[in-house]
Amino acid sequence: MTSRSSELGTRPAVAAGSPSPRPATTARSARRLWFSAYVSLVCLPLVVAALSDPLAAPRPILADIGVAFGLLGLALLLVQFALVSRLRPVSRPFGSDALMQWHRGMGIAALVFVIVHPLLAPEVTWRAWNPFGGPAGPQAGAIAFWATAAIVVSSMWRRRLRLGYEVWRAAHLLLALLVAAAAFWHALAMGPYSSAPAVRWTLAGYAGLFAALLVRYRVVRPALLLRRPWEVVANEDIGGSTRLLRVRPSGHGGLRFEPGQFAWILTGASPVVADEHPLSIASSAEPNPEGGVEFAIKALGDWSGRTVPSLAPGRRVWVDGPFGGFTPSASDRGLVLVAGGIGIAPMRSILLTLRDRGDRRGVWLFYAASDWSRVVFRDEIERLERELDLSVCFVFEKPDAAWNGERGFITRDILARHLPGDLVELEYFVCGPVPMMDAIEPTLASLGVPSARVHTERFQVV
Amino acid sequence: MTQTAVTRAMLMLVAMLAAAAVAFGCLVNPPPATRGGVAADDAAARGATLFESHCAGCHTEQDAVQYLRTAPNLDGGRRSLSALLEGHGDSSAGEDTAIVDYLVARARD
Repeated sequence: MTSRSSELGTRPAVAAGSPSPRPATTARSARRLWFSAYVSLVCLPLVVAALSDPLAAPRPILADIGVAFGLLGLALLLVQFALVSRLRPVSRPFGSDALMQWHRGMGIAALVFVIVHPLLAPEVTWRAWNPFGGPAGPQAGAIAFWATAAIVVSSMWRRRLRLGYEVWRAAHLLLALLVAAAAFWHALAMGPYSSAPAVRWTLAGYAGLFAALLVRYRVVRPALLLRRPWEVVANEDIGGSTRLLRVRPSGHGGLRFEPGQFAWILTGASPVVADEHPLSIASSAEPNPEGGVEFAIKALGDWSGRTVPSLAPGRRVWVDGPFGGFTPSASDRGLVLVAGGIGIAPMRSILLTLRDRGDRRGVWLFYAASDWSRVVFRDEIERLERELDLSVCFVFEKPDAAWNGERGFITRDILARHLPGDLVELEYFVCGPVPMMDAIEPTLASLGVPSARVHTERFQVV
Repeated sequence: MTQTAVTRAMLMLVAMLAAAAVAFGCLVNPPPATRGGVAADDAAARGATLFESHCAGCHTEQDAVQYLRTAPNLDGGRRSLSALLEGHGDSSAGEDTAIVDYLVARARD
C-alpha cells in the first residue's frame, strides 16, 4: 500500500452521522464544572483562614503571604491524589493523559509553594529544613518538603535514575502518604491560623477526603475487581514487536467503552498486587457475543517484553476501565487520526467501531513507522479502506528504496498535502511517541487547527 | 486536550494562586492603625500593661522576648508561650493572648 496524496487532497470532510453518548458541549460543561471544583478545593483553606484570622497583633505581611503559600501548597498536595485515583467522571471530560500532565505540573507547583512558604517568614532559620531534629511541628514540615522533593525528582528523572516503573509507583504512593501525613501534622502544629476551629475542621475535611480516596483506590477498587476476573483467550505475535492480547470476562458482563478509551490490565496474582499497566483498547466498542476486548502491546519494557508473551490462553487477569476521553463525538465532522508506532491501537478501535456502527464520516489516517516491518494491522487497515470512507497515508522514517510514498516524519507539508481544504473543521486524534506528539501539536496549530479540536493520548508521563 | 492547552491552564492557575497568596497577606494584615478598628498602638499598650501587671514581678520583658527568639520560628514560639501561660499566673485567656501578641511583636523588632 502506498500513500495517495492526489486522491486524499481533494476529498472534502463529510458531515457526522453516527450516534455518540458524549456531545462536545457536554464535555466542555463537565470540564468547567470539575475545574471550578478543583480551584475551589485548592483555595478553600485560604479563604477559611482569611475569614477566621485569629491573630490580634500586626505582623510582617511577608509572613502572612508565606502562610498563604503554605496553605495553598498543602491543599494542592492533598488534592493531587484525586487527579489520579481513577475517578471516571473526572477522567472522561479531560482525558486521563491531561489529568496526568496536570498532576505532574501541579506537583511541581506545590513544591515551589512549599519552598516559598518558609522563606517568607523572617524568623525561620536553616533548622526549619532539617527533617531529623528540632520541634515536632517544623520537623513535620521539613519531612513533607523533602518527601515532596523526592517525589518530584524521582518522577521527572525516573529513567535517568534507572528506577523501574513498578518500584517507582510503589515509592510514589508511599512518599505521597508521608507527604500528606507530615504536611497535615505540620499545618495543625505550627500555624496560629490552624488554632482557629474553622481552619482545623477544614483541614480535617481534606485529610478525610484523602483517606476516603485512598481506601477506595487501594481497598474497594481491588475488591470489586476481584469479583470480575477476565480470561486470556488469545495472545498472538502480530509483528513489529507487538502482541495482540484478547481477553474475555469470566462470569460477568465485561465492560462497555467508547473507542479510543483505555483500561488498566492487571496480571499479578490478584488485583491487590499493584502489577498494572495502562493500555489503549484496540478492539471495536460495539458489543461482541463473548464480550471480548483486545489490547495491542508493544514490547517496550520488562512487563511488555517478558510478562505479556507468557500470558497463555486461560490465564486469569483483571481489567480496570474504561478511562479517558480520547473519543470522537457525534458532532465531529470528520476525523484525522495521527498514529506513531503502537499509537495505532486506539485508532484501530476507532476505525473498527466506525465500521461496526455503519458510520461513513470522512477519516484520514496518518500512520508513522520506521518501515513496513514495524506496521501492525496492515491487512486490516487495507480492508477498512474499502469498508469506510478512509484514506490512509503511511509515513516511513527509514523505508527501503522501493518505497514511493511519504518519507521522514509527519510534517506540516505532508498533512496539508493529504488533508482537504477545510482541514480546520476536522477533529484530530494524535497518539504516538512523545517526540512525535510534541512535534504534531505545534504543527497542527501552524495549520490553523484550533487547540480544542486536537485530542492527544500520552501515557509516557514518567 | 493538548499539552499546550494544559500547560497554559496550569500557568494561569499558578499565577492566580500566587496572586491570591499576596491578596491574603494584604487582606488579613491591614495597616496597624486601622486593624480591626482598634489602633495597634492601643493593643501594644494593653499588652505592655498586662505584662507589667501579671508577669513583670518574676520575669523581665527581655527574657520573655529571648525565649520567643530561641524557638525555630515565632509561630512555634507563640504556641509554646501560649501553652506555658495556660494555668500559669493569674491572667485570663484573653489577657494571655494580648500578652503573647505584645511579646511576639517585640520579638520581631
